[in-house]
Amino acid sequence: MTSRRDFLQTGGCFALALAAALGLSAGLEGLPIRLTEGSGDGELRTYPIPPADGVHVDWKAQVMLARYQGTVYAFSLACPHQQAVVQWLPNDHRFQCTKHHSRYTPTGVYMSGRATRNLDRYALQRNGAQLVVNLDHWFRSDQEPAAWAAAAVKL
Amino acid sequence: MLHSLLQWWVSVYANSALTRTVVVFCHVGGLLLGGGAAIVADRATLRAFPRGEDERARHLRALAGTHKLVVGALAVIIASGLLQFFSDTATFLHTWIFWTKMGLLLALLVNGGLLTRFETQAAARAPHAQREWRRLRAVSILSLCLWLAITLAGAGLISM
Repeated sequence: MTSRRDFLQTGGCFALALAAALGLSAGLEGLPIRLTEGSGDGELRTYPIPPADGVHVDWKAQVMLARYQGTVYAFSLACPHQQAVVQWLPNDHRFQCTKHHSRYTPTGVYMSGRATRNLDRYALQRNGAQLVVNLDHWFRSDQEPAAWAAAAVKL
Repeated sequence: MLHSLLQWWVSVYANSALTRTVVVFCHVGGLLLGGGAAIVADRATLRAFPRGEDERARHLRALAGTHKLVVGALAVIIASGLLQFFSDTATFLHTWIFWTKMGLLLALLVNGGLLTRFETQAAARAPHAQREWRRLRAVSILSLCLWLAITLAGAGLISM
């Protein structure tokens, strides 16, 4: 009976694959997606201004800070369609929902898919070398188009 | 190099509905085939437990034939699971449901190892293998629970 050997081989492969995955996770900083964590209490979160174009994700606050062509935006991590996680695709330079694959430009504008509006933007303002994001105030492009368009910081 | 490969896969997975379909089919199909075979075998173990020696011996022979199918399906499940993991590493790493599922999978693999060990011992010690059969019964019940729990965790991950 060789089933135990088969089992150990499978288990070993699993352990190796998991180790490789964990090793990769440690190298995530090398990607254009960077993990960040804002400081501050309550609904006001403070972040350093991103030094270059790219996306910074704060998982705790569920916020994505995107710097694109000299402007910074703070997006909700949730897709407007069914609140699934939105992913930044570095090679394609766009956002995409991980569930139904709705697509958005780097500025959060809806491109295609099941969603019916742009990514929701949080209110944010510049404070010296910091950006302050107000998690209590976010704008839907279909309900407050002017406020949504203004929710950006030009650098 | 590794980052380039990872970014390439993220892009391929995001842009190709066919790729996503194949990967998810392998994952769900493996779960259906492997989990289904394991659950049938576990239920047969529970049915054979209170019966006579002939029935138990017949069951042990049948059980040995099930392992290859379950192990093969597990390999497909793990490989397709890794492909999904690498398509969105950042999201999975920050989700407790993902880590719960990995813990359950590890428990299932350990439980599978114990199952085959007790099965070998039960066959070797027949007809005086009452203790081994009690252990087999326990790991079979645990196996049933683990397959269902892993399915639940998978459903939770999809709903994220």
